[in-house]
Amino acid sequence: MNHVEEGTIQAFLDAELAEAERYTVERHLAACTTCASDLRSLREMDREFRSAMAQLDVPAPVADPLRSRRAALVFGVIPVQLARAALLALAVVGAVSAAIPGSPLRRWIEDVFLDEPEAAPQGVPQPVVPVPAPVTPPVDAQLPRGVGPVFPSLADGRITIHLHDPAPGVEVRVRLIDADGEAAVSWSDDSESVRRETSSGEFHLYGVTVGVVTIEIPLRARLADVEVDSVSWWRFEQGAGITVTGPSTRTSGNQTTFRVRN
Amino acid sequence: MDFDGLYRRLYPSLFRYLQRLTGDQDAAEDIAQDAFTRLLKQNLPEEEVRPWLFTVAMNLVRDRARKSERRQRLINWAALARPVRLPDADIEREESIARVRAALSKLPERDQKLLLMREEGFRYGEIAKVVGVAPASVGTLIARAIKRFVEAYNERGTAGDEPR
Repeated sequence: MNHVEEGTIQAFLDAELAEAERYTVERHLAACTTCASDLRSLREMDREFRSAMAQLDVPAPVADPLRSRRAALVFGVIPVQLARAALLALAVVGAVSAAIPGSPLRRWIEDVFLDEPEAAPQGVPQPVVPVPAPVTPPVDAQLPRGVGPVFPSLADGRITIHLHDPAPGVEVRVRLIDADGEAAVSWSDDSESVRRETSSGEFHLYGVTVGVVTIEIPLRARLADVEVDSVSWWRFEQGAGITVTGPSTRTSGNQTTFRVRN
Repeated sequence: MDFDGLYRRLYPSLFRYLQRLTGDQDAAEDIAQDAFTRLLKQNLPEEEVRPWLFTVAMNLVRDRARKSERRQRLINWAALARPVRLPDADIEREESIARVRAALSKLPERDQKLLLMREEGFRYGEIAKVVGVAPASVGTLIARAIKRFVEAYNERGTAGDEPR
């Protein structure tokens, strides 16, 4: 029989031979001193090699699969999950920020998307919002006798009506219903002809000839009516705003309403 | 694929293989980690995982050796001269390691892989596939590689002659 090749002896040592071939090689090695010597030589060299290799070894770090998973997250191996987590975190931060009163995000949303400011919580004074003044005053036919342009305005919780240069001897009457406070009427005409009368819920002013008559109506009034020379000219209703009503015989379909935003 | 189970079973072997191959414990750890991280993207049958991991790890070693400033350390396998004074026992150990690395570095890269994969329990068929040789030739290649290693290892003055 021919000698066994070196590679086959090595495979025999490494238990890589099939059963039949291993049996054949075993029988040959038992009978052939040359091949048996080769076997011993290979086995000795292998032992020396393994002994040398063992000198290189150091203890392996603790096998922690989480390290690879974390690395996969950091370096984008699982980008979809990472992106979803980032979007979710962003949404949560945005929602929380928008819910905090006074936060920059909330102010921006209110500025951009809301026409009206949010109702203030109870117990907090409501902000006073100016009554939108008309660009042009009501037509002359809707003004009382001798009164110039009228611009109702709102400040400090009151609606203020200025009557400029009323006709001599004009009579102004202000009636209030369910008002938490009095209507304030003042005038610049200091002549002795001016008279005033007050009673519950009413204020009368007679004999003004020059200057300005200022009428202030508290916003808390449920209803307020301003008459000039016994004709109702302005009416304020809680929730409806102030309306130019007079003269009553000529106002049908031609009223100007100034709504109070609160 | 039970990633955690595979990791615990294969990581020590892969680390040892890489540490022997590169002589750099940190590099071995990093590369093994990198290989397992890449495994997360794969959907392999379990029996293919180990050859795949070692193949990827070998490629990472090659890439790192090519790109890294530590190329000499990774390619030559030889221990670097240490500027610090070591105790005698440590010096002896360092010299022994340098001797082994010097012998290993004299083998062709293919033979190094053959021997080290065999040390990790790979069968001839797996080694042939990873290294790219005929399965029938693996026994012969291993026998010759071992012989070359032992000759180099037993050369006089080997430790001082390692490539720089």
